[in-house]
Amino acid sequence: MAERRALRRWRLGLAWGLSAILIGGYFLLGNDDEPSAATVPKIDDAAGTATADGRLEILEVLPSDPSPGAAVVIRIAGQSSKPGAPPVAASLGGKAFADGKRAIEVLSRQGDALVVRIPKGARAGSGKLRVSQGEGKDDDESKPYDIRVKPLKRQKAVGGVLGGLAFLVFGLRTLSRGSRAYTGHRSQAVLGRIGRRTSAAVGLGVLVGAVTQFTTSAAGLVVSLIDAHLIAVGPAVAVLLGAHLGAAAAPSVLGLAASREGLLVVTIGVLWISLAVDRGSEAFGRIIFGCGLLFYGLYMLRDGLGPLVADPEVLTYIDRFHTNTLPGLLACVGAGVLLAAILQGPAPVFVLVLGIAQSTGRLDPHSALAVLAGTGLGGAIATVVVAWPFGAEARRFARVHLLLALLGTILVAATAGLWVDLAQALVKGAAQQVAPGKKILLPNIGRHLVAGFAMSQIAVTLLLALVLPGVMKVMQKLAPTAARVRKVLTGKEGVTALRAGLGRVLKLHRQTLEAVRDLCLLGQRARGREGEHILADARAELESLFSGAMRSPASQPELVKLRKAALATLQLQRAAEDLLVHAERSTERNSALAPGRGAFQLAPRDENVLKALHQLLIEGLDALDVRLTAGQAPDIDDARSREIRLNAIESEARQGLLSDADRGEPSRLIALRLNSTDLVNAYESVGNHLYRLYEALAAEVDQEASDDGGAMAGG
Amino acid sequence: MSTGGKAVATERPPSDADAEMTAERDEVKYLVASEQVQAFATAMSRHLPHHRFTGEGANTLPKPRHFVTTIYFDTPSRNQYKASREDHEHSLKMRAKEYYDLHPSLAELATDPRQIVKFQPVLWLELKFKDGTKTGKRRIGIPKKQVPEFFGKGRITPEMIAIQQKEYGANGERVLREIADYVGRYGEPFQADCLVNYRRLPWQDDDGHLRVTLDVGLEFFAPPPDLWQRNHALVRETLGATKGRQPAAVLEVKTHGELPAWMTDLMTTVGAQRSGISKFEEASQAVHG
Repeated sequence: MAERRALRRWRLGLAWGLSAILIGGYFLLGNDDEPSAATVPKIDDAAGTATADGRLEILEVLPSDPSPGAAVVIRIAGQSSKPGAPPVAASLGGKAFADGKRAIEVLSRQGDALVVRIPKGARAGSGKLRVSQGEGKDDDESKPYDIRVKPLKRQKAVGGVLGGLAFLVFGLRTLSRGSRAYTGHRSQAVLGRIGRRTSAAVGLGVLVGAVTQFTTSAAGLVVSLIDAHLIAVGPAVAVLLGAHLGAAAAPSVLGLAASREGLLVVTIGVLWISLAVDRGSEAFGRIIFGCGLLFYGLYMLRDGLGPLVADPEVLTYIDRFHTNTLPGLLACVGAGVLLAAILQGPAPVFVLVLGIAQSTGRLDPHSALAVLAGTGLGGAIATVVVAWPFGAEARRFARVHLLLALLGTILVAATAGLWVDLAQALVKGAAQQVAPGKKILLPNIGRHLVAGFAMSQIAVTLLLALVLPGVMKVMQKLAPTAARVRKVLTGKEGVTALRAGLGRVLKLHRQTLEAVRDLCLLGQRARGREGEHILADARAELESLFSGAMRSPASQPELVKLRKAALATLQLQRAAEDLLVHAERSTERNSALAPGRGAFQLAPRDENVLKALHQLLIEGLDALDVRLTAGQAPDIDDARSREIRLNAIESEARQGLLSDADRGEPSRLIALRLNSTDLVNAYESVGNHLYRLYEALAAEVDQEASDDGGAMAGG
Repeated sequence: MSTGGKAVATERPPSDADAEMTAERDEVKYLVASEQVQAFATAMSRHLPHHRFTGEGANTLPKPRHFVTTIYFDTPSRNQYKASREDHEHSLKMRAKEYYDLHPSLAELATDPRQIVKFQPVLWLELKFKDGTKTGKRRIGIPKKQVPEFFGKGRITPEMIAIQQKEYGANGERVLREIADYVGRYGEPFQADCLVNYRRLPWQDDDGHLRVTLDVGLEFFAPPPDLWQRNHALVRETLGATKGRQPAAVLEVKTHGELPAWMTDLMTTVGAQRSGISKFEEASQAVHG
């Protein structure tokens, strides 16, 4: 015991130590991406560097191999900075255009640096870049600077964007799961207590949002608190409003700070997961791992977005997202709603918008904020999907949140200009200042966007929290109207619907068992996947049925019995899901133990055992289905006999394994049989739950039933 | 004792209250519709305690379901059946009862059906007479395997005598002899005629003045060939094909005085119908036609 404790401490210490070494070593190596004189032209604000012959001269071009549509920085010398001097222009010639030299768009002029965009129609190959100042006479123009226009690699860019998004979403999911595992149920109860007061709920929401990352994750947590009656609808809505802010803020700030170090963080995460000594430290490792994936996804996204959105074909579309017209504003907000609903929260949308704004300069802060304004409503739509199956209270919560999110979106979209101006006043450096690094064209816009988005969200969240009580009252008045449309299972119709529904679920369970049999007896993995899909269908059917059954009045004895049966079937479903998992695992291990390729096999005795267990379960399901369809009570005596037979087979299988081991059977055979033990147990567990379902449906009289114990009718 | 080692019976006579109740008393039967059974049981539990045998060898496991398998005896020419049919108010019946408790909650752990059943391998043989509304019993215990010898040859073993000592003291052998003589008078052997299996829900007040039993799920069977050779209980699943069923539950109210008002009200509420039902007659008819 003491040794194991010491080993755990040692592993934990090793994890901390290696993490420190990795971080220290990484930063000691220096920053490869740091702009240096060798890679990025130094901008000299005191323009007007003279050349020997007094003519304009191109000193440096970066990058020297741009694609059509890409931004290029040209460092020049010899330009006139006298008052009234014409601006420096640029042109591209050589093989870039068949018809000779063409003027190109100048994005920015700052000191001795000129930022130009390579035209859409430029052909791949060598090109000659010139700058000029004046009437276009030869003396006003620099000598050509050779560049190489490379073809646009759209596939690579799209791959980068998609991969980046995938890493981003997966990172957020991993972070969310890790956070939940780390905080656990105790924290959930504490959250529930704090959230009872509306005033604390918004603050709690920010924390929840920052930890869970997804609006849907936060919604799931809040819905579970509502379901457990730990929190009222009003504070729950306040929590979710705060969660939106927290979910947006955390990755924004973290992403801006550390996106380049994504792979290092991934490495540290993997290190912690590998050296984890318990669930807590593994969850901590997953949090780090998730952060790393998030950072790396952001990095990839920016990397891919740069060339992609610089593509003239794409630029045309991005230019439509501009708030200078009403359709443009609506397009921005609509895009935000859609993206947040699909990506389940504001964080991925923020990263995407930031990437486009930073790397293209075509999405101004106002338009970017308008897109982000839509994330509130999009997140609320995702919340509706999460909350809807959890009953009336959760749906009321979702409706209130949706209404408030709509108000919030309209408010932020309408006041986006105000927040941009405020950010401009508070944040150092102009948002539109072009200062190109390796990946980023507009480095300041990120800070402006974070500031503007954060301020708008804080203001709107506080405002909505203030109007929340009023909204609650209005919704309360509207509630009876909504209640009328709820489908409650009552009377004979309810009994028939429940019986038919349970029958359908049992048929699906039967199909699952058939699939499991083929999977574990014949090694047909495709049947395992079929089983998984069938079980998913069964669960969906059952949850809908269960929800209807739970709302049915407890005064109808037959419905009370069927409610119990629905609950028992839900447990049967879980047992069937476990069985499928065990069957998959067992098949994998059996394949690994097989003597040759394609020689999948079970120990003969286990094969017979599994067949017998399967047959008993099928008999039980069929018999119950027949009785359910006929509206009759099931034969509990037969069910009991089958259940005992299942137990006996399971017991015999275990004893048989021990006997084989005692007899010194070959180790491969013992390994095969040991592998089947878990599977046999899982079958037996399905049998237990099937028997409980029979008990729930049987007309057994309870002699010690109390008045409030839900009397069942005999017969 | 059974495989479980512990005996159980809800109507064995060791306690004073049970002895009081076994003596002559008013016994009235009613039929209760199956839909009303749970409501009746729930209401009964508010007024009377659930009666459990607590004497020697009692089953102490929680939440047992009490079952009874009754073996009715008759001659090949069905003398008893005919006598019973001809005079409902005056009859004599001979039957043997096996009581067993079922523990369904153990089913998920059991690897053999016998593991969830607790029973005594001693059959309680009853001579039951009826004279108007007055009924009475004589009850003797006989090891199951010795029953054919007792009925066929009147053979009494020391083991049988020992079993009777608790109830009859030194008179045990005399009681056994009286019964053997009575059986011998018919001139043809007594044999198992039909079986009835049902679940029994018993309630009884502390002083033994009121006992209420509700027998539910009555099913009738022909005697299985290995009836007297069995080492395990006569549980329903092992009795073969059902020959018939009684859909209603049979309520038996046994009292030495007036029925309490709540009981009368309850019977009215559940629509209990007074009945002269005879389990023996129904079972014999179901088996023999």
